[in-house]
Amino acid sequence: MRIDALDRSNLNSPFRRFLKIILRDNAGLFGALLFVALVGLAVMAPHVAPHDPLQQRLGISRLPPAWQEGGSWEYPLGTDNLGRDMLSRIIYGTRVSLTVGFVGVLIASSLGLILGMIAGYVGGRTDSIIMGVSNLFLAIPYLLLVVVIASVLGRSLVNVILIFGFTNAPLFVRITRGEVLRIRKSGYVESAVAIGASQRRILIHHILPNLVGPLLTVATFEMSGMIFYEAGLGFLGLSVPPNIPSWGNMLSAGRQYIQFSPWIAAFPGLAIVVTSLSMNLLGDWLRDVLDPKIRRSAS
Amino acid sequence: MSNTPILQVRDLHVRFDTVDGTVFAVNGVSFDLNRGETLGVVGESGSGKSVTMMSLLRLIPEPPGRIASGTARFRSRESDVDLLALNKSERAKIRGNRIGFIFQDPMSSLNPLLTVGDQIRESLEQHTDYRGARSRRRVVELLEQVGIPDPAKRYGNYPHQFSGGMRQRVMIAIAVACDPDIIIADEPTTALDVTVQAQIVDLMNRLSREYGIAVIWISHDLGVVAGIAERVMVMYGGTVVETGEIETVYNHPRHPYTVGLLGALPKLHESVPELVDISGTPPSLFSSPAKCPFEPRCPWAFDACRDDKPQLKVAGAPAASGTQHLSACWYDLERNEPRPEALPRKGRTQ
Repeated sequence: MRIDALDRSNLNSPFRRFLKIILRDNAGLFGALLFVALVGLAVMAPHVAPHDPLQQRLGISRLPPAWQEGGSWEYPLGTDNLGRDMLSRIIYGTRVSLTVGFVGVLIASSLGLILGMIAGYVGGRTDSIIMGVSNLFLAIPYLLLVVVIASVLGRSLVNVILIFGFTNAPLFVRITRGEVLRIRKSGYVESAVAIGASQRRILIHHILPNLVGPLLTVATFEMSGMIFYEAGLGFLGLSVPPNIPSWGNMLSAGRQYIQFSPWIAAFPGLAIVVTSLSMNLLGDWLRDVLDPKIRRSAS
Repeated sequence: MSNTPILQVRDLHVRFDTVDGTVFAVNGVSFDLNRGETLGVVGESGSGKSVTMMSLLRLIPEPPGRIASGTARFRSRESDVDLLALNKSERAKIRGNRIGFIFQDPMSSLNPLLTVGDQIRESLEQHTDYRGARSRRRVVELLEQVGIPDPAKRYGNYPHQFSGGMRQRVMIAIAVACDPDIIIADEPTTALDVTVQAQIVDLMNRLSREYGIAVIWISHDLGVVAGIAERVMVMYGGTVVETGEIETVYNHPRHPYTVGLLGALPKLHESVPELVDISGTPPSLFSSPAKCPFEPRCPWAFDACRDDKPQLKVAGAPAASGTQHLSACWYDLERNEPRPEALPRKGRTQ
């Protein structure tokens, strides 16, 4: 009741509306908090991690987590086959995963946005060429494509990011183009033309803002997808070099000890699940926040 | 100057080149629009009424649309131009500025992500030197003029917070923002319920009187047109078939199509056992009409109708205001006989 009264007096305060939607949607709040925590971990890794993630202590290799018999709170999540601290490695692994996901999506979506807008707005032969190439890429089995490129280019963080950025762009091209075609035919673009608005103004003022919602939602899902695939590549030994702690590399290393030291593979696996869950929740929530129609139902 | 029509359209032809062939959407439409008057344009779907008006400022998709020929002389306060001969930037200066538009569907005509205030401002700032706080004040004023209660607060609302009628009021505010000479309203009340329709009609009547804006009101609803227009133009198959003062046309229709339209109109004060429909279907516009487009459905049709296309001719006494009553028909409904000029041409055809 009291919240309702507040709403009406503050219909135009974006910040209040923002807060209200976060607080209303528990799943979204959970996803957002988790995401913020993960970003915090990645940024603050050197200060948060209890140990150097690369330091090997062969004397205490495959130490179980603290709550199991033989575990120690010095190494809360135990150690891996070379005696490196699992917790610290997981924390550092956040950096690789989030960087790949974030920068990869940034490249893919920017590329897709530009090409998709050109295809949708210019049309004709330009459209055919852009869509032809995009569809060609989408027709190749994704994992195969990524594995082939990764094995040709070799292991490095930059390569992984570029591979994901470029191979995911066609998806964004398709979505952007479809949305542009839909928005172009909408009444408000027709109205904008009728009041004498220039093409540039229509693109920037009417089409672009209406693309942000759908694209941002796809971007968050794609981000979780890239984190998944990065771990997959790491597992195959095609992602970042082994001297960089990444969840994929950790999974890969834990595979051969899974019978007797399951935690070495389980914790990075859990980290991947939690991260991708947080992004999916965040994606759902962002879609709601960016749509004024759903924004209203929050009041 | 004040007696010259603000808009004179002559022999406008619009075609659409489609995969199935050329659609002859508008075939030689000519009409005048006087300063400050409201002209009703009626006709069924596909009669070319919207395409005629949209093509004046090239708002039809081109391609497939194509303005094959015609002129549209527009004499505003500051210019005397042929709308169809303008280049892109000259056109943009007239769109929304000298000639405003209101579309049929207020639900989709507003950008869902921008506040209504900002959308009115967009039109205002596009063509005038209103900026910043001054333009915001002007928008609030406009909202008030179109009857939005609590306009200062409503400025920051999004379109979904408005009802259909309110959104159409916003569209009207956008159309009048730059104090245009002409507003082209393309079935602005079709998507609204009847009580809201009446309010919108009243609002348009009031604004058009207050600001001396000439209005072209496109509609298929004869009742709505009767409530707003002084003059009416009936279109069929991409041509004007009858035009005149609204009362003359409604009381003494001279074209068989108008007769049919009025016969199909339900009336409140008369009990009619059954509404009379016009038999047949609207014409296919794939062939250039060399004959009367209404001929296949016309109960009075005779040889001349199939041989040649009738032109607009005086069909009755002019109204007290001097408005001519014209009809494009080879048959004189008043005398119930073919027009004299239709007979000799029968002999002339080989």
